[in-house]
Amino acid sequence: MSALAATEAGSRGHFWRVFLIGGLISYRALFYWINPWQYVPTMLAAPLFQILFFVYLGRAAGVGSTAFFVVGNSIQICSMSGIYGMTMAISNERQFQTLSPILATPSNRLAVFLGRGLPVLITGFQTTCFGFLVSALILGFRPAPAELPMLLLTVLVTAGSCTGFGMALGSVGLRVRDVFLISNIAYFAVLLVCGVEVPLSQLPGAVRGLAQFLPLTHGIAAGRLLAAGRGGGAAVSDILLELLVGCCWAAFAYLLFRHFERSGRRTGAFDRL
Amino acid sequence: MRGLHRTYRTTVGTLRRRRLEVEAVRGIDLEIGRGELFGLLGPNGAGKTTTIRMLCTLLLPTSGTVRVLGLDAVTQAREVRRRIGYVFGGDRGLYDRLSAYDNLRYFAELYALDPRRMRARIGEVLESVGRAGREKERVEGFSRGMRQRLHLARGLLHDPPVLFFDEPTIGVDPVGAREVRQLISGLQERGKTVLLTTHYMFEADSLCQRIAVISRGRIVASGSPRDLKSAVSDRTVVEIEAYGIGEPALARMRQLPGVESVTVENKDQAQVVSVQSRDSVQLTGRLMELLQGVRVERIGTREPTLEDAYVALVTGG
Amino acid sequence: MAEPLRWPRVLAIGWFYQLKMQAQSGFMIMTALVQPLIFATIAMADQQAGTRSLPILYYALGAGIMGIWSTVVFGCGGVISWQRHQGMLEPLVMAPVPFVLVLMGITLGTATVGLYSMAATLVWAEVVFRAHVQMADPLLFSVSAVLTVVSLGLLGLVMGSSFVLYRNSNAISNMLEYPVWLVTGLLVPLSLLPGWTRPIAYALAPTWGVQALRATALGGQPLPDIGFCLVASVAYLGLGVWLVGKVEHRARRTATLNFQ
Repeated sequence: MSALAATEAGSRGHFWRVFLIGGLISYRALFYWINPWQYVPTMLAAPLFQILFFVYLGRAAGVGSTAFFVVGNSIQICSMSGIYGMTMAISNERQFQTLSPILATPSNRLAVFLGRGLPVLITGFQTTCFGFLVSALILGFRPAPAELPMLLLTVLVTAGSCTGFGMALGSVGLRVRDVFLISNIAYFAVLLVCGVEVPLSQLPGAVRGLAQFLPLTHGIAAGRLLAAGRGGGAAVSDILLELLVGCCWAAFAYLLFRHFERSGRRTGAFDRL
Repeated sequence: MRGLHRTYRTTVGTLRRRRLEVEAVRGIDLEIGRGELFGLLGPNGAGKTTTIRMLCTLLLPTSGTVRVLGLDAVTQAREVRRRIGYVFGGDRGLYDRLSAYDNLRYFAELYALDPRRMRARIGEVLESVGRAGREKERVEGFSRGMRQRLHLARGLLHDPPVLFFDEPTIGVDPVGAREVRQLISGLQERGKTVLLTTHYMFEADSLCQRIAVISRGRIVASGSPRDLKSAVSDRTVVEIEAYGIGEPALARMRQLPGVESVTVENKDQAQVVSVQSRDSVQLTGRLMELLQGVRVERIGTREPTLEDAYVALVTGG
Repeated sequence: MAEPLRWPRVLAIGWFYQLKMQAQSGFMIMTALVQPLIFATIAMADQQAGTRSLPILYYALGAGIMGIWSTVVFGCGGVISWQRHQGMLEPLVMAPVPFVLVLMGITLGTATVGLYSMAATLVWAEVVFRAHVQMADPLLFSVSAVLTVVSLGLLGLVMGSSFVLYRNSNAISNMLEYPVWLVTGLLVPLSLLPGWTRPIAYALAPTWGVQALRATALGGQPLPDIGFCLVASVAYLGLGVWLVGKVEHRARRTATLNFQ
């Protein structure tokens, strides 16, 4: 046992340090778009243009309201961070070939894994808040003031469930070469499937069913209710469902990661990472 | 702290690891004593890295047992991980976008170093690998040698009693490689147990007390560098520097009585042919006969080196 | 053969190989197929539910050009950095033909992959949304389609050579899709957009391309749009040649031809 290790590697204190500090360091290491020159165009400008694009598209067809598209898109853009950011924060270990040294440490895997999610979640939350703010300034978006705290909670939960979903993609990326292809499809597919641009009622039954198991669907539904001032009570069940969906994806992601770690030890797949 | 373990035994017993129906390691038995600096030599694909990765808990043996400090690397992986450092060669395995300091900081967290001592410890290891002063720079601008030292620093962070080095000087310039070797031998002087794999004979010769030569997944010889050399001490090596020796002539050399192996190396435009044999007295004459019509620059005999012993072992001579 | 006579061959071979590589790349297929189909579906669903009715074909053509624009943005924006990353920049610059021809072949090839999008959105409109896809003037439609691809490829050349001056150019690429889709009127009629965006729209080839395609498909007066598309192409070509020369010169002076 090394004299330097004051905290027992399995202790609770170590868990939190790896979760918080380790998570932040690895986020800086692996999340491409962290520097301002990348962050501003990718995480702020592009999402903003997305909101404008769909608001105008709705106006062109004479469908929906500005609030419908603002809430849908503003919440959806948090998946920019959740889907792409989380895929990077796990899969890019492959690019740097840093997975072996990490797995050779005695650290708690759950802390290593989940720690990467927290900064991603916060980034996603920021993006959505930015979307709401700019929409309020230039598109005249006015959510019901009384429901603002609940709306922010909804955003937080949805950013979290997108992060959980992104974790699953990230884990898949440890094995699959072109995971960003999947992330890309996922990012655009949710626009159509999760009721972001088209009301769920307009979609075929199978797609509607699929949407129930994806992040965003319930969060956006809750967000629309709250923005319209329909009262917190109406949105609670949707918020809880969104939370559940997110937790399931995160749990699935972690199990997949552990499975890859175990099967990697058995088959030597790390060598090929 | 090291008193915690009474004995140090690494037993890699009869390993069988299957992958794509290829057995990378086919039955290796090794025991490395505590405080020893042990070298694992072998050609590419011989199973060196596979062996070391099993010791580092990154791979499970298909069969057999792996023990580090008496701990089972399969069932007690976490305990083993706390006590070992793993350093591999090459320029990957670091976060390019982070500074050297942050790369080490991350692993300091993963190894559960005392938070109050973290900064000082990172400074110490950077100092010991001669990399102090540039720790705030991003790794992406680092040269191969600097990256390698950072790998080393990471392996030393938690001051493990056992260290594994997988070709640590590969692609590092001669001066840098010498510093890495000095560092490794310094570790041994401080009582660490070190397992090193390498292609470079002189590296193994100068560093290791004991060496095992591994070829096609099996250990073909082990012992001190001197032992290995003595295995070929009854041989002599005839070295011929010449121009334009064809394949038929080489084949005929291999047929000569007493010849154990013939290897060719190209040096500038010339060929350097080394012929190992047990009977050098008549050999030189016979070789000269064979080489009629070929421009021979130099021909001479010399004592076998560790490299000759190695060549003899891995070519099955 | 006199050297300038070889230029079309150089261009053609570059175009062909680029097309061959990109047409099989998963990323490009995704960008050119899946993404435009998703946007086409959203737009057509909006159209069906909405009160204002523009023909389905109107949206299919717009979404098709959106796909071409995406392949151009991601395929051409980083073209020089990508060649450099692969260690190909030095051999390409060293070759005894103008470097701009080599790059142009690449950017035109990339834009051509975008035709996947056009084909996909038209088939989608016919099959899923039961639109009757028939072109009012098939010949001029084909001319417009080719011209649109060429003009976008040349715009890609301009982007590829100017982005190399900016270290984080891939980030610019990430934000260039939506605004250009919006401003050039691919799914939203120009008349609905604020007036100040109009000059930007006029400077961008997709504006003219989509108008030419719509006029030839739905009936109308396509010739002015085809003309403007041509003018834009020539302007991009001139700008591209000038920029690539500058970049090449700068790279040789500052020793940035090889990777990092």
